[in-house]
Amino acid sequence: MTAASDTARDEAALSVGDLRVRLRARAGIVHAVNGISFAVRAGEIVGIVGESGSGKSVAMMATLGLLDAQIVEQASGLVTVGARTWRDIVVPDPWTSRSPELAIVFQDAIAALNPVLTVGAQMTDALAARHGLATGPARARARELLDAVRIADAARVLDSYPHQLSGGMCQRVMIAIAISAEPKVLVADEPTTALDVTVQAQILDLLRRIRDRTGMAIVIISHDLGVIARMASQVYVMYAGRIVESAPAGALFADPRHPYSRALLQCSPRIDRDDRASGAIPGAPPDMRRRRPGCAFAPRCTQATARCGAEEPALIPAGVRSVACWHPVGGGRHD
Amino acid sequence: MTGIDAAAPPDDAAASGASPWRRFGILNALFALWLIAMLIAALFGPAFLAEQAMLPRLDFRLKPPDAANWLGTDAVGRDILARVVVAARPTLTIALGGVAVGLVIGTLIGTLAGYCGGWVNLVCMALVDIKLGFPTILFAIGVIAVFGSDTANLVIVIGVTGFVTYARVQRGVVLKIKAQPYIEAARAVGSSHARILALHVVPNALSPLLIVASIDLVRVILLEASLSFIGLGIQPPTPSWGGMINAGRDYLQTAWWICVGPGLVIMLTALGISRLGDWLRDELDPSLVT
Amino acid sequence: MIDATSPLSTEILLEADSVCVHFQAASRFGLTRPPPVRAVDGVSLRLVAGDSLAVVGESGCGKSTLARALAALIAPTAGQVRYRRRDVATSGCHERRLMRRAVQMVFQNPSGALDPRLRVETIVREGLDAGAIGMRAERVARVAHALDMVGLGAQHARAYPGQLSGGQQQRVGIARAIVMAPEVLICDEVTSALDVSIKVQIVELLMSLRDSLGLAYLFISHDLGIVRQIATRVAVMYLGQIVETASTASFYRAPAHPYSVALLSAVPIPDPAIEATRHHIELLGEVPSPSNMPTGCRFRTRCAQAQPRCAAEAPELRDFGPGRAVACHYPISASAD
Repeated sequence: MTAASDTARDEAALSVGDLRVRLRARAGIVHAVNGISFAVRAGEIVGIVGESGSGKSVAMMATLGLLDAQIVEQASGLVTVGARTWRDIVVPDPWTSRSPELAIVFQDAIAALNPVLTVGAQMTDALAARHGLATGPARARARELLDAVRIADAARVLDSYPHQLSGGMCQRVMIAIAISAEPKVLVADEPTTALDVTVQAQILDLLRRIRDRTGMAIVIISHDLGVIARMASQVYVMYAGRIVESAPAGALFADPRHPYSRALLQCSPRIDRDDRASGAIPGAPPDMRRRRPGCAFAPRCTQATARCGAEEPALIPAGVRSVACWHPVGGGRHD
Repeated sequence: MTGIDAAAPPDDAAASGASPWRRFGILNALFALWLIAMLIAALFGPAFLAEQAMLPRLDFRLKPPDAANWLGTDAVGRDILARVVVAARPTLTIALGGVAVGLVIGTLIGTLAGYCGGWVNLVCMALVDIKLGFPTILFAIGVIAVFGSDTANLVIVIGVTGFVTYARVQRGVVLKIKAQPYIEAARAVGSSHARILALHVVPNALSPLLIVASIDLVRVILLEASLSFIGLGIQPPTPSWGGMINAGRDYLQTAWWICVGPGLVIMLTALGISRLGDWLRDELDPSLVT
Repeated sequence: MIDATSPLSTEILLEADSVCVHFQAASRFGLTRPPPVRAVDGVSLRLVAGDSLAVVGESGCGKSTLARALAALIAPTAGQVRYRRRDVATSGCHERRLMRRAVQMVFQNPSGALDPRLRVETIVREGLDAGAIGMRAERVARVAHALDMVGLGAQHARAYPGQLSGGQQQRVGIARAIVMAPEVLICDEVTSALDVSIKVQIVELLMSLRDSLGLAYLFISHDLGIVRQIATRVAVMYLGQIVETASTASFYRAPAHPYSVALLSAVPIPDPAIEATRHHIELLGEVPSPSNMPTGCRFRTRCAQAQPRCAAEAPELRDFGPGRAVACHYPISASAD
């Protein structure tokens, strides 16, 4: 553990230490998460960015104890929420163990709701089960929660079936259910990827308001650097199951040090610039079934040397940021 | 363009993992041997064992299995093992023929209904409903009474009574395939409907049909048995597996082996066909490669 | 990059003239006939040689349906789709076949758009086989050439789609289209299913193909960042109609329709310093149902600038500055231009 994460952990709402997950897949063992640590303070919005297969979703599922035990080959790590610490990453009954402190919102909100029950029935059920509320108070609380996620006609939505609602509305309902237990940390796994851009703006704005009002910490997972830039104050960049760079958002976007972070930023298309996004990243993400020695990004990296192919660089803190690279780029100045 | 992912070779990790024969497994090999044995029985059995299978020997009536008669003897003293071997040819001819007829008719109707939709769908599904509302046995009696009970008629009757399952399954599968983007992509490059059906729809619908067929095979063997029971199936003294079970029903309490021999044979054959069908389906499906 | 927008550069290849596509939903118990879904409701646009037109909009705005009408995959309920000034619906069999070849389409979901049971070479050759174009050896050579152009080699030709990555699959989809030697390529959300780093590879490929083959592109996309890079003109759709068309440069500099403004303001920019100071316009409410449109301007229910006139009178698509047309009674003028 580094000094930086020690100080962070003192006041952390959630801290994760040396998380490792291997999953069983049809074609072999997938090294999904290979030793990541991070911490989130109360009221902070942390962004985790990475492409598909980077392990960002698996890492968060493991943190919440939501991994399907059937497919886990091996999982280890330390999850601390407030005063409680869990050492067992795979748990038999996820909802009773970590849910009051941790809650999650998924990408596909419509699929996460039961299609044959009204939204109201599902919400009151959840509230009755979790807080022992009777039907009347549970429904009142459900309306309150829908108001909290800025749904104007809460009564109509409560009596609707999920397919009668838009994707954005379903996502609001999911957020309402997630915050009903007043968690310390809300994990949002690609919460707006399935949504239109104007709806995305509404949902991101809603998450921010909830943070402002309740002071809960938010971990937002996204492949979209724009979403991360809009939301997060601290950013972790993941590649091949590891954190390759972590930094405050301002520093990361102004001056990314890891060649992958830099390339990702350079090839993200922007609406505010005319210049063609320069240089696609050559090659494709690595096959997570085979672990190669050295840096996982080396085969696609323009700066790679012999050392990169042989030794895996550790995540080394330097000032406010940490970089896992033998030849970090950019930045003459030290921050 | 600088380096691109295109330069990478196709992902062959899974393909190199195990050869098709490794995935075949010992159990499947045993079933394959069994089916080969049945095939040999069907081809050569009648030539060698016809006499033991057909001629009654009343002094050997209802003998339980022993060293001389491995599966025992039946009510008129015929060796059950010999009868099972000889019965392989008529039974398998009718079963495979019946399944094939049902498969072809059902696939045709189901594909048309699913792909064309509209009034074609209504007509095809009306055919299916008419068939469902018409008692199978009554239909069989009618056809056989008019045309006689030779093998070809039996095959047609059994096939026609079985097409409904294929048609229903195929219609559902085709509806799903029709909604796949690759069908629209084929239309966009100018493929005709016939071409799309032959190249995309039918090959992608094959595996569910194979599964249905392997289940249907058992149904067909048993249907032949019930037709034999009312005297419309394979005519005695020619034995059939279903007919043998039927004949043994009255002796279930006293001479269980009359039923058990052919029963085991039907079970093993059906199981073998369905297991090999499964294996074949997985091997033929390149989408399962990775 | 700019010359392609000039209307006098070349002839019109593909043209939509007041195209409507309405879907009739099934009736309930055969009693009530629900109002039709007006997916595309009177869209006119032109694509000239060398053009790159992007149709943008959110889900349900009808942009994919419009693409299918232009590719002659669905027949318009009203209006005409013309290829080289000939109405596709009434032209003869031979002409239709030529049009089918000249207008090709690349699809959104790269894995779904490839038949999993066929090898890549068979998939790419399908259009040539179906049209009986050339001798067999010639077809094989054209397939190899097309695969080479999209950066795939002989080892990919023998592979099945399931053995390829998403980016490689999309390259196969592009090869299948360009092997027909088309003039127009309609790209329906071709990058939306891909990772950021792969997205840019595909965009670069499409740009290089435009230069080497002289293709005209129609991009259907909701990704305004990608559109800025690949399109020379932008058409914004809302509820089945085009509400603004403009050259890419002027559109991104100063959008004129209130919906365009809101759309652009919603797209996040990967720079926290800019994001912190940006003004996001939050649209009111939700998109109305395309089977039950508002009176007058379709956007008025969500528009902050809506006036009484907007409810009474539907705005026409009118010229508004050079190379720009807007369907709004109160378009927003470029302030600092």
